[in-house]
Amino acid sequence: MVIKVGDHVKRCYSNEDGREIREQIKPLLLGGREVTVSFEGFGSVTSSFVNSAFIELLSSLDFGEIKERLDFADSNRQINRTIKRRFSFEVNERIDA
Amino acid sequence: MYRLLSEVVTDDRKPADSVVSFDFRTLQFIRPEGCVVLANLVEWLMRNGADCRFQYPSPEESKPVKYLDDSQFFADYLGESLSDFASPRRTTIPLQRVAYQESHGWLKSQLVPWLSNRLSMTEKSFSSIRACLGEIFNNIKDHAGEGVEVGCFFAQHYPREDRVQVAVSDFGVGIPANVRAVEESYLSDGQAIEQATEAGFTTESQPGNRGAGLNTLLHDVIEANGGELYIHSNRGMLSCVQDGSDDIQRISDEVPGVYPGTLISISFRTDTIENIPEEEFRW
Repeated sequence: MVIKVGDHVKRCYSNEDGREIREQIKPLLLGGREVTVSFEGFGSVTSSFVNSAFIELLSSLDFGEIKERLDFADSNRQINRTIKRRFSFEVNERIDA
Repeated sequence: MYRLLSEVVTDDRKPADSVVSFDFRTLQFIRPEGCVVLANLVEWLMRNGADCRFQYPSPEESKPVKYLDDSQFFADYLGESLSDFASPRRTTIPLQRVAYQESHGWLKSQLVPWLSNRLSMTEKSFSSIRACLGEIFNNIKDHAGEGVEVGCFFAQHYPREDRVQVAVSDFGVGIPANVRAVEESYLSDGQAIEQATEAGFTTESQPGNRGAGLNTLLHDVIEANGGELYIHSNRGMLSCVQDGSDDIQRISDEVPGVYPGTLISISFRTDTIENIPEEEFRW
């Protein structure tokens, strides 16, 4: 299933924008659906958006499940790099006290 | 800058006097960061109950004063420009106070078209720069403190040097104060700023705050653009540049003064900006 970011938010800027997207994709992912998030019309994302849209999913799904079910389309180097860097840190390096 | 700050701001972050007089008669030179520091300082003094006064030569007699006049500084703080001919220079976006709620729209409708026009490139080419500045505004919203969600902004294009200098400042509590709220208090202010740029360090000031903003800014400015990033806050500063092997070199230091808030200064290279191509995502 394709979720177009532009159908839900006008920008990929704040935590609130990210939460809006997460609310769309989380139930689908938890239900075992494969989801493709399309960034058509957007040229960049902030880390705040990525944190709230995608990283927060790690509290409900393990990374393997996210990689299996979540994909991204119509993106660019900046968007891909920001998403991958955030996931890489949270999965490989964050140590919770 | 720090000599000025040490005369105006006490060690415990209070105005040094109830009346502060800025004398521009001996000013030799000023840059974008200087404009932002001055504006931020005047705002901070007024916010803390000080009366600000200005002594200045005619803009015709002083290039730095003319630069400030063209940058709207005297219009903002005296109510009118010094000269009838004062007007923003095409190479600059003059002093602007941008509230967080307006920042996304402002970047899209003001900064990016200006960059596109100055550098004769498509607006899409500046997606990464727009994201960088979005990180700064999000940082202001998350950390500056209650009621402080405004950034003072100034940008200048230096065509002969292939760069755009951007300076953004807020007068919030400052990065060191936020870091020390969650981290060991033995850190100096410079070390605290460096800590704040570490991936994953978070002051958890907001539920969605995972400590990535400054680190992402660092990577986007230095690795992606090849630019330089400087952060000044309270008594510390951090310089971030690309070293000879393309890694990010961070140098923290203590400064002889107190900057009340945070100033971020970025030098973006314009010769490395390219239209960011579409790219397929692969885990």
